[in-house]
Amino acid sequence: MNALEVAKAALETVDGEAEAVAHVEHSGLARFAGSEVHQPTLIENAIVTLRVVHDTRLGVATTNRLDEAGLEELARRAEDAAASAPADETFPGLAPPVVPPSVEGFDDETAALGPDDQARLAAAAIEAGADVPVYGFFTSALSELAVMSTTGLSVQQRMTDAMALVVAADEQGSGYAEQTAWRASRIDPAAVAHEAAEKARRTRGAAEIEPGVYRAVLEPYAFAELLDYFSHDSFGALGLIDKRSYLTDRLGQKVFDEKICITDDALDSRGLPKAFDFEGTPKRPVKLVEQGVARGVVWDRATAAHAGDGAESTGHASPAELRDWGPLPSALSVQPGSADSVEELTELIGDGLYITRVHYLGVVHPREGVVTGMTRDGTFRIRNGKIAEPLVNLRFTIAVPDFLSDVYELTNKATLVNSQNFYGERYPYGVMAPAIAAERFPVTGVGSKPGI
Amino acid sequence: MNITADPTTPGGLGSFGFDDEGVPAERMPVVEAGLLTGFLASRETAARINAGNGGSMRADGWNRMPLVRMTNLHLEPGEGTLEDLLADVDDGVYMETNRSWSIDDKRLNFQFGTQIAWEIKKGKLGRMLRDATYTGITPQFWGSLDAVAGRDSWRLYGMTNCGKGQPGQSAHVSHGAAPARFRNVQVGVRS
Repeated sequence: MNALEVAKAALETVDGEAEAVAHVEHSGLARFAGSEVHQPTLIENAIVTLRVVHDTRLGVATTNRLDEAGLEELARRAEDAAASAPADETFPGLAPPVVPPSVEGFDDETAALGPDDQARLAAAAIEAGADVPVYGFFTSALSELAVMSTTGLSVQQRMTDAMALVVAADEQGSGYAEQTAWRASRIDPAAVAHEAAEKARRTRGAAEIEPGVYRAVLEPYAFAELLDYFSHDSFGALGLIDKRSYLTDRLGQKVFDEKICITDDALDSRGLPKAFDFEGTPKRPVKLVEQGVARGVVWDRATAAHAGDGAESTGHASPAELRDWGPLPSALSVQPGSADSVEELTELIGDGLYITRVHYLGVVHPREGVVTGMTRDGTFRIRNGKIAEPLVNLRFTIAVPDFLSDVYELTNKATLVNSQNFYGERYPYGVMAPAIAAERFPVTGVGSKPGI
Repeated sequence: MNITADPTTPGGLGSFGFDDEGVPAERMPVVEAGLLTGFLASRETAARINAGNGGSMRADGWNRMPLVRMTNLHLEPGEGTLEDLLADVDDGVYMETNRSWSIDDKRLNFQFGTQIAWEIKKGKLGRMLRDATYTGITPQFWGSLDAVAGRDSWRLYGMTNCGKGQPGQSAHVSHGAAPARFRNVQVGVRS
């Protein structure tokens, strides 16, 4: 069954008002460690989440048992959940029927890739690592999302995605690279491994530095993850309503450097396009920050109804298991700048830090956008405008708005950085980010040398 | 300092009868009197280091590869009460309930933020502190442990979203602990 057929079968088990969200995944992951193939995984799965509505009481249940008995049990569990749920007087009702926008994001060749292809592409990465052992994977998938409800809503999207990710590491150093796209032909696993291995070789003999505030160039991998974490509290409507967001009471105000323009645009074919959200509402591009001025956040039906005052869903409802977070951006996009290369950025800052990637971020203070984390897999000193000696992993504790308030420049090309990491159901999304050079990057501690 | 891995703990979020390789759950010491004496392991890694039968392989779903990962990991109780621990602190901070976490890929440099903290002055709790953080290097931090409160103060805590692996997997884990006192910890780091 395709996703729409799964949703239809689930919906037919319910007498009253209900919505079914179906997700189908056909994926393969060719993993490698120490330059050896390791734990290849194939997934064939279909899962459906049923939400039933009893007046203003909602119940949700999920299953991947799709036979008649399984779906009947699903309906019983959703009904039981609704019966025990408190009334939600602000429930806006299920989404009305729509015609979603036409988007790209499906590629026949990517959908057809099988385990032999995935293994071959992983082998290309292993070979390109050469003398540096590589760890990572090549993965590709066909996934389908469908939303159907008793309002007459019926939407489905087929998506493909592929990703090569490599950590190249030995006892002396480590490097990182990744590529993500909805067309596997745009992924070059050998180039990814080459980039990671070359960086690993340059990190050998890493030195310590004193904590302090440095100028810094962040590669797209680092910038994208920093922005992604900042967005969870600050670019979603629930954060705004809860007053956790940095944008609380700042909409319309200049919050960042005027070079910073950030949108959430799931329709952009350069990313991982999506036509609608997990309530079936069409995706709209949303201007979050325009020339440094805070313009808006993303909404779903529940937060829009709660806020009132003309607020409408922008098509950013999360999957049911993440709904407590409220609506979240899933296609952040930073407008590129004018620098031709990261080397041009290092020339601009003259003296500072070069950061490839960040690790294990934690939000210290959501309202102020303070995030902590470690650098890894390619941290260097910049001296006289050039990348100089490698550095140990550095702890930073940074107010993202302060970092973005004094920006030298951004590169003129944005890179798609995968944000999903394939937790839970496969729903590929990422951040389009250029590299960035900024005046203030606070280093608050030093860690270990790169490498295993 | 005594640390125990125990997937048999009643009520533990990381409790099970057997792991995802079918190895029966078993309580085992990891740190005894400050000495590292044990490792969580799979059947494969246990054989490699010649240490037991494994028993810590867990996957977060039927379609994920099992990983060697935490089950329930406890700091064993010492003696006395929280008040006893506070009594020997002239100037310090009492940290409660972590709300943010970050640690490097070698699990050495860490920084945690708390939901609430209290000033300690001359052995007594004082004013409430917001957004308190503490940071350090793992072996140095644990080396500075000088007291753990007793069994009556020991509680089982836990979380449902412990992340590990790449691609990432999420697990339920518990940590049992009593209030513990550390000396010379760096606190209050902000940007």
